Amino acid sequence: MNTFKAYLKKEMLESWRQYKYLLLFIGIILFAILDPILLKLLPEILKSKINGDLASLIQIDIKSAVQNYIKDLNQVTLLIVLLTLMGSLSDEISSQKLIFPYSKGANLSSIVIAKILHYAVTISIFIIFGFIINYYYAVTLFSENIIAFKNVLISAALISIYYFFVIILLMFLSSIFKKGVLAALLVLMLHIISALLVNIDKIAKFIPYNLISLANSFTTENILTTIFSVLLYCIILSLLTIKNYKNNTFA
Amino acid sequence: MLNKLSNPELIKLILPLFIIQLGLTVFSIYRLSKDKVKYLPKWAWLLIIIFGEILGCIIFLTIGRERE
Repeated sequence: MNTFKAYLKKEMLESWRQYKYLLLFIGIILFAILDPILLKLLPEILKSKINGDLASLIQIDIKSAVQNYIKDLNQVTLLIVLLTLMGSLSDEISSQKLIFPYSKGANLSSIVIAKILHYAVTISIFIIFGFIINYYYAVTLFSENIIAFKNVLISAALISIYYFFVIILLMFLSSIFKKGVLAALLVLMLHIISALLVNIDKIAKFIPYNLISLANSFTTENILTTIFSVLLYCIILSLLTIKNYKNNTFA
Repeated sequence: MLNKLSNPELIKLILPLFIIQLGLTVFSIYRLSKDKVKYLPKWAWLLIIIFGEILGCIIFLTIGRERE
């Protein structure tokens, strides 16, 4: 428990010094504000650039404004999150920073859990905050097709769980390859592959990307199966990360 | 455009975006002047920060700085 507390503080201090909080905050909150404003301006931009009444074909409402934010969260924001967090575990393994704390009795499992929980909680808070801001802007700028605030919060929770999975996957791959960039690229590739696999109905509910599909459609069909599957993957990947971390630290 | 909103309301909506953009650019230029950089020379990072807008600033702060 002491190791966990110490490393949680260390992660918080390191994130503050390396501006990780700032980058994650901007990567998540920026699009919450930017998307509804751009969508509101889009018909006018199209009118000025393209002849004809193309702009009238685009119907943007509250629901599509929130959906656009969800789309950005699993594209640009994911890239920013991966860029920001890619070195957090691999740097420690490759530079063998942990030999001294381990010789003093530090528990490696607590170190990995502290890292994962710290980033998962930070990103979840920013995502929930982002959805609240986005909903406020969407309701202020648009009037049609209103969605309940409760549904927006459920979507925020689903996206947070997906990011929890992404962080653990990134840590797991970092523990294998010891190169943050390679791990981040592999996570991106798996993200794209799972976006394709989610179209297969029989397996969709077991694929983590289904959380984003559910958040995007504001439905709760098969929600528990997907959440339990993702949590199971998270537990397995965490255990494997701890095992690899122990092996690689002294390799 | 945005005809349902009055000018002060419109400014209130766009102001946070402007503050984030300006604040991040100023902060990135400040860090560029203080920190050691990698991969590209300082003048190239300055161009990326100014013309790359928010994404340029994020790229500089994540991969452009030499970590202590």
